[in-house]
Amino acid sequence: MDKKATRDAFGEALLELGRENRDIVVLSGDLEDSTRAEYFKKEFPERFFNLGIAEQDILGTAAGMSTDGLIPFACSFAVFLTNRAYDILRISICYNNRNVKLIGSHGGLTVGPDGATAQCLEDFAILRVLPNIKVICPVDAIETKKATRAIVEVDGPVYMRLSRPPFPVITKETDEFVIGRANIMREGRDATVIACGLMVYEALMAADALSKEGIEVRVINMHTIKPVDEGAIIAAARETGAIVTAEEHQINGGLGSAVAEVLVRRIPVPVEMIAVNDTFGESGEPEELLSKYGLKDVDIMNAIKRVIERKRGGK
Amino acid sequence: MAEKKLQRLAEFGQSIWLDNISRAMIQDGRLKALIEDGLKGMTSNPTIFDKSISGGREYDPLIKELHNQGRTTFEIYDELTVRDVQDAADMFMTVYEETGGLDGYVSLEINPELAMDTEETIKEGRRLHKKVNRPNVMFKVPSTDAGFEAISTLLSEGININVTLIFSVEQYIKTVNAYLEGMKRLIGNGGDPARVRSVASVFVSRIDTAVDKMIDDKVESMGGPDAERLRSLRGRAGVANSMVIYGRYREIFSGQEFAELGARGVNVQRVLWGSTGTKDPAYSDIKYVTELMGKGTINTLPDHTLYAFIDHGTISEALPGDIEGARVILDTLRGFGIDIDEVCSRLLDDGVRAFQESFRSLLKTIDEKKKAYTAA
Repeated sequence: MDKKATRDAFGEALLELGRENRDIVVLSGDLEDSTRAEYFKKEFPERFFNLGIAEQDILGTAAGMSTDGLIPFACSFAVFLTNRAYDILRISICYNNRNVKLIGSHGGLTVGPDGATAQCLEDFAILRVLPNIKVICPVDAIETKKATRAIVEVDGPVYMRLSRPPFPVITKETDEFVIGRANIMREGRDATVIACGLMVYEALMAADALSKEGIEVRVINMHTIKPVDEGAIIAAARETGAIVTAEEHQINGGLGSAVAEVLVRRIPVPVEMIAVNDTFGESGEPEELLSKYGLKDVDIMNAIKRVIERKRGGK
Repeated sequence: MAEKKLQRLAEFGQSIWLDNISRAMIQDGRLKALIEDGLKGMTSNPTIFDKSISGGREYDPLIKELHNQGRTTFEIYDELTVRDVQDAADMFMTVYEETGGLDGYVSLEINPELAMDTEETIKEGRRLHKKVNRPNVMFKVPSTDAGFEAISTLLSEGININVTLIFSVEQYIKTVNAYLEGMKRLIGNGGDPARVRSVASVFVSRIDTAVDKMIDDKVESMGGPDAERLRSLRGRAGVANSMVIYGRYREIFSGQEFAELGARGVNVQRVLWGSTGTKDPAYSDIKYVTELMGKGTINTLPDHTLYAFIDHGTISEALPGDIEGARVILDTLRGFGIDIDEVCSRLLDDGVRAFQESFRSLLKTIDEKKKAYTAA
């Protein structure tokens, strides 16, 4: 299976879009080599601005540039762009509903050796509560390219989380990507895993393994965390009766919470959540960290078995 | 629309659905206003989509975008229709929830070019169900010999089915049997039948259009009291046929076989009156609303009929009505050489073919729009 980092795909897509759309400008926090915004910088230096390690300024400037009809891409590590610059993000961008695209690379545990302070595990939670903004976490490099195009079509703020290490490429060029519309990656009737980002791949591995035991699991790629696809969640609950969520994020407030909010209001079914369990990360290799913090396919398999058990017991 | 007539009709026991869909009505607030008035669902077919897509510019940006991505004409068709159905289904979600899954559905036709191929229809139904990914969507399969097995199989997998193009009583009975067979298989596989819904779409006005034409042709060459008697049967066959079907519907779903399945959670497969726009201006513009008002049914109306009903319709129970009288009408027509079964059989063939033609016309429409972009 091919592997490619979503940040690499983003860099390529941004360059293509830059050629097509003169309104696109890029603001960077001295990390353009890491976020791959440097591809754009090399070809369009006059539309590229490195504001240094000053994320609040990046977002404030981006909000201002958007008032002139420009489409600013604010690019930095997820942890700096969201946590550090939160107040500016809330007031200047979300409250004023500015057409700014926030690109947070190096999200999740898989940043690896940089350790706990650089591992952004709360971006979905803190952005999901802000009005006007959309929150996206693409599943692989192909989807990232489509998502980068799609967010330019949105008139308003969008946050997109990217990742550092290469991820398995599990979608095809012909698969549709529509913001707010989840994609079913695999059909099954015993339970559904709703995942985003790298965890979709882990969920597919779990589903393949369980299939050999006669358990058939639907896997949903919920690439848009906000607005979450309520119809897809309700359909999954109705048709499979048990839900597991999986995300590279804190267990509180993220995708799992977004899914659970829909379910308790609309159609309560048993839910198990795979996420980082209310603890900070640490330095390590991505695979080691995923294993240690319970985010591997085996963890999802166990959660699926638990949730099916609860479904049967609850009847 | 202050008095919410559609809502009152729903409380009486008949749900009104809209037999139309377009991006325009989804976006401009028309659909939202109708849902607030008590509209309970929506049906589409290739003819409807052909009109909407060829008639409106709302689809053009997406056609252009998908074309630029190198998508085939079918893929563009698929994407346009699925997105409309998803958006409309989301607008009906509250209805779906408030009625416990009885109403709030949007129907999408499975590619009619596959109608004669059971296996391909099943595959396409599964693909669409996965792609649309909404609980309140029904997929339409025609009531044909090739369709029945596809209907049972898809239902047994928990996919909601709207069985379409039913004209004759015989087709209706086969449709019910296909539904019950699907539900039995689903229970046998350990599934929950309460989560699956199906409707049986009986087409009405097309029967009158065909029979009236036959009556007019015969009357011309006749004369005397017989001609008068025959002429008086104009506009009667469609509703009479529907009354017989409604009678069977009530028998079957209050009978012993269904009682056992009902106790296991199987839902009633409601009858849906389709093709209920008035075609002959000699008749009331809401003829097929007034005369088919019966509890436990759905009536799906084109825009003009829907707005005419909201404007000057009244709510008054018409079904079951005089079923014996209905049989007499059909027998009398037979006596004059107008065999309702033959008419129905011909209409079914015509109906399948008409949807195939609309489907091809729709693909051609998209193709032409694509070419316009290539040229520009």
